[in-house]
Amino acid sequence: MKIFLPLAFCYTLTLASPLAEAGEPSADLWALQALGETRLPAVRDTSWPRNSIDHFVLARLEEAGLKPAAPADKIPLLRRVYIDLIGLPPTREAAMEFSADRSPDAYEKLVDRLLSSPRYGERWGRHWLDVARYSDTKGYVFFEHPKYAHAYTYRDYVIDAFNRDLPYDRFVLEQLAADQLPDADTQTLSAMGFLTLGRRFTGNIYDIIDDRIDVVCRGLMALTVNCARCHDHKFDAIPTEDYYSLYGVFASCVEPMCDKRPLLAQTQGQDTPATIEYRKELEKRRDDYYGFLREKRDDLVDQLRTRVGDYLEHVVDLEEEPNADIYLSYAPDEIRPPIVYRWYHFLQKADAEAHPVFVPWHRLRSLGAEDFAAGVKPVLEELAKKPASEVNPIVMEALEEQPPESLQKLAQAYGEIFRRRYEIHRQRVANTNGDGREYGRKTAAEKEILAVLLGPGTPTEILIEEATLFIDRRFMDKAWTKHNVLEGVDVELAGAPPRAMPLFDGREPFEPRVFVRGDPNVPGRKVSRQWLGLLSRGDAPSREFKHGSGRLELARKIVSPENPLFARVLVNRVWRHHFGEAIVRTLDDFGARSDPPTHPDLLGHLARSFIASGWSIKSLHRQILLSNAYRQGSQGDVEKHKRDPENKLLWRMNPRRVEWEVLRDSMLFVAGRLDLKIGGRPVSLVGQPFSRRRTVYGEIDRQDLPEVFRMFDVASPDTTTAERHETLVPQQALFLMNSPFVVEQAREIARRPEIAQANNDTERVRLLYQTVLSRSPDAAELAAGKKYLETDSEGLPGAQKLTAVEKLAQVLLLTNDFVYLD
Amino acid sequence: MRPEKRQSQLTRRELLQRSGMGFGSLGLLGLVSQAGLLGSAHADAPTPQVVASGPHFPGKAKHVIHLFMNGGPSQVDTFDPKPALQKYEGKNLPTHFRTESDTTGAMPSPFEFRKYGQSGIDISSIYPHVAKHADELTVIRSMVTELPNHEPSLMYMNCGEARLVRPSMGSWITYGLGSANENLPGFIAMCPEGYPTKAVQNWQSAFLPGVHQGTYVDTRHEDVDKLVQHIKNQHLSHTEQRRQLDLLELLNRRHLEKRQLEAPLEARIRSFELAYNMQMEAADAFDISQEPASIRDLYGEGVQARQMIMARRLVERGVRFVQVWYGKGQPWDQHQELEEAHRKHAGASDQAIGALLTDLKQRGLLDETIVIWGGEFGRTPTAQINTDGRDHNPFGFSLWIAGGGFKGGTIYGATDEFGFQAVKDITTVHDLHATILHQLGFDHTRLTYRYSGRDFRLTDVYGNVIHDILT
Repeated sequence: MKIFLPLAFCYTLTLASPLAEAGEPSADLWALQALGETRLPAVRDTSWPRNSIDHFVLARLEEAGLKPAAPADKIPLLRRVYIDLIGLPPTREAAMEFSADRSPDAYEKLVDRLLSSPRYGERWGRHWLDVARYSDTKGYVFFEHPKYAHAYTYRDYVIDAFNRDLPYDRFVLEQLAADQLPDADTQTLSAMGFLTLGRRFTGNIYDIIDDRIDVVCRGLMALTVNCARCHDHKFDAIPTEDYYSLYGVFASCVEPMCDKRPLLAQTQGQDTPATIEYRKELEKRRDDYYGFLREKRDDLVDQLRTRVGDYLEHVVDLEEEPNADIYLSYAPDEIRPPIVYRWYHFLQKADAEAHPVFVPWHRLRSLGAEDFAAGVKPVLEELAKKPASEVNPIVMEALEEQPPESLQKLAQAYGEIFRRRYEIHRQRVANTNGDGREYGRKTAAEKEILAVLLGPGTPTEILIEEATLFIDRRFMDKAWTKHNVLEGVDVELAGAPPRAMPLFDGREPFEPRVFVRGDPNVPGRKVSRQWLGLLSRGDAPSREFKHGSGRLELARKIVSPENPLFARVLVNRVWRHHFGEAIVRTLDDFGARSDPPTHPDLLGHLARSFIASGWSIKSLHRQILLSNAYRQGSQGDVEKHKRDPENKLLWRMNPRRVEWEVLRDSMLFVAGRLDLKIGGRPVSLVGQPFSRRRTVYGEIDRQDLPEVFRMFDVASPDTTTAERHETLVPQQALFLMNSPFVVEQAREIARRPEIAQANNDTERVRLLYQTVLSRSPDAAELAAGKKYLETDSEGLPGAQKLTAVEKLAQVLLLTNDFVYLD
Repeated sequence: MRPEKRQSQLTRRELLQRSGMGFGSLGLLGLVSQAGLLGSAHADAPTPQVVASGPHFPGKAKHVIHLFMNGGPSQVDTFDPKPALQKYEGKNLPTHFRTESDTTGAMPSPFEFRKYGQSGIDISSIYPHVAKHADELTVIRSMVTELPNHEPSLMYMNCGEARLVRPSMGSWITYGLGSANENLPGFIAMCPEGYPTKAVQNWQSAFLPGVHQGTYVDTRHEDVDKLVQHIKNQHLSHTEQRRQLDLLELLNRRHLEKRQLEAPLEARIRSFELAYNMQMEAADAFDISQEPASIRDLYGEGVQARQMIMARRLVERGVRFVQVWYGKGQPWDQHQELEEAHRKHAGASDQAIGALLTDLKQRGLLDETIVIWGGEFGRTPTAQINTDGRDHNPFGFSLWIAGGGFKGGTIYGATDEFGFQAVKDITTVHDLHATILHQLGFDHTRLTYRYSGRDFRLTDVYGNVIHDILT
């Protein structure tokens, strides 16, 4: 049996004092400047710019005495746009058509057509899923079910949002607070997977919230707020207080139980045998889980109500206000610290309200340990004069009968009062009709006592949702097993409906305190739930969040046009995916240690026009893709290379290698086998028969990411990723050379009717090129291909042989031409 | 997420410029790359650095074999004898610590200890073969970790951080040293039958490039195509594949002619050659049937022997870090029936471990290979209530190191009279990591990677090199 100890952790910065002062408020940092008007810079060559982007790019080039590259040839440009926008290569027919289209707006039409293809959302949704650290599983789990049955509904929401060109500010609002948007429907709740589908850290709430703060701050604003978990940020003006302000927002939120996640589909009246089976099974598993849990919970509640004295003794021992919920597994009779804290807060409130049951408690407690014995009698005498409406007579009677000699005895005396009355309650309940209610006469004083034990929100109330936190460890395994059987119903049964994975605001907002050095056992000063100081420009009062958890207010602050980071970060990332390099090359750090933008004015200009377009990402694509800067060729140039080896000034288009998803999808696509079905549950991409779905629909198991994913630099699903690594290792080549998946696609290419039925090798080679590389072979390539076909040799003895055409098809899939974009 | 450019690291472009070679000399660049000046993955400014600049100073060691006894072997039953436990058998000890589960009376070791070698290191009777190497061992008896649970302790031992996702030691080392054999992965994690607890997170690369993640090998298998993914083509003979790759190279070269500035294109052409060779090399490296009978006899029978032979063959071929896990899950976790199970696990691996040390030594490899034996924590000297087992113990445990410039025949640190708590020369996991990195030629405070605006390192802000155990 495992326990969760309160974890002391530190996540300190390099050798400096871990409690170093936060970086100076860096108001002059470029990223924090307001998005002011920018004038189009003047250029000498006025014929080159096609749109505003080109002015900014050309001005910098001219400044450096450089010229842009010649425009890209039609077919490379076509491939570039196809891969950029939809992640698939153009077909042979599309390439021919585009080559033949001499109309002046042929390119514009192409861009528009691709932007309206449903394939676009699949391509760009995947970029966003990197940011959202998307996974279909929870990571390492101890008790919990390992899978997120409904993560896919978030993935599908993202794809759909891109296809609909949902305004970016709205897109983010929905992901952070769809539950609180007045005009959002239940469907929209699926957006909130952004927050909820991170790693689960075996249930450690501090880490779960840390992950959420990171995905929000680094993912949306390129701010590394998480550094402030244990100490003030060393470089940026982010004090620990700000971290815990956001912590307070997320600690005020709750997730529904797995079987109560909101349904996203209307199942009424559309029953199939599968959905009927699902509902039956769901009910069965619910009964099993909740039945067990309720029984153990009720036993525990009985224990808590008969041992109030022990809890009050612990309250007496508490020196200062508790804060953290310590998460342990408990032995049967062990004191549950969170219940002690509940008593503590309950008694504080009772004191403030002069609760008749606890007036003696507070009066006697205020005597203090040393003067207690001497002070008891006078206090009791004084209290005896008070009417029953002010001091509960049962309590008075018990205390007068046997005046307590110490605070501990006082606690036990109260415990005895509650225990006695609770026993009567239990007996009476047992003797009646089984509806759980107590019948029979009760005095007002008795009612008052019982209300402390039985009412909603009282310290001994354990909600069924929180029961697993409190029941003793002997039952924990069994409870979790049953829970996972219940959660599994949505994973296992085909008839399971889609559900959202939202957060909701909890009953009471959490009042955050700084955890000193990140240790929840050392609560420090109180902080408000409020917006980051760094982005507040001194208007402190309006920083504070006032409604519930404050999550919606937080979301609105983030997406505000006043936030200097939000739009900049997004346009920078979109730029990165089109040019292979970003304007700010530290894509997820716009703080003091960021790389300054290569084109600061262009970044500001793009951000402003992005906002002005109504946050339309498709407009942003259009603006970028229609520029001449984008349409440049990628041809190298020795002289220019010497002057600007990193191509920071964009004297050409950067050549790029396609990502894993594009590679895999393209192979299926040129083989004529890509299944274009949209959405739904994740499919396994490893193992035969190989799935033909687009890679974005493949299952992402963050605990066991298939090796080939890692080899091809797929974004780690553990934290938000703005830019993937790009490595080149022989294992990638091994996959291409030997994997049955690639061989299968090569075979299917050869089996395409036009290739299988081609009249001769010349025709065959030409068709292979056109199919795989969207272009015809040149003379030398044609000759090499034909020669290869003519001189085919034997396969492995006994193994299934590949034909020469199949082998040639595989070679083309392996070429640099297939994986690099000019 | 961009590491600072290291001064001694040459990017392809810088190299081109500095040496004035012009852009046609990429073939030579290939050779430079192979010599380890450049990463095996393409390093072209300003993409993130795939490999660091190499050691900070000449290291004594080049490889690490980490024998991971997962589950937590008991120190008082292996390398840290505590006769005082006899006196207290079944009784409460004067000092007691709370661990994961409740424990009560002292439980003396059921095994006999004897002193071995000239150094007289105490080793229990379950490790007779390891005992023969007493004079090669540096036994650290004062290891401590942070928590008494497997998961965080595994993460701590492997990644230097109990809970947050951080790169593993093996990933840092391959990142730091680069590859000594481009035909094999630099970091291999072996475990028979499946994963240990925490699975692939034990060898994760986290924010380091994915190429540094440990490559998992299930040593239940013997066939190379089951051990290494995609290592064998099911349809083509080598000759046929050679023809395919010749054509591929021809086409790629034509493609490259028009794109002379693109180093990655050249690098990718080369990667197919590397992959082609890797097929033979990997098949060879994992094929233990090539070992003569004398060697196979030395290691003995069974999966542990197979793993150890593979480990040696891999290190011999330049693999940087081999982690050899004892078994899936946490086999050494004896909350009960400790005597029987510890005897069994030690018995299954003792001969092979001894043989590994002998074999490395006779090949002259022990000096440059750090062999580590240990678990994620130790066990209590007290028995778990009503059982004949011990609970987890993070307060003090033993671990030994051989080779790689560590001082053999040394006992370092000590636990208290009962083996409950380290009291002398307390050694943290960060200290251990710092010392291992030191032997490989790294100042652990300078082997860093810039991620999310911060320079991360294996030892976070901690760790001291233990010079006392180094030659």
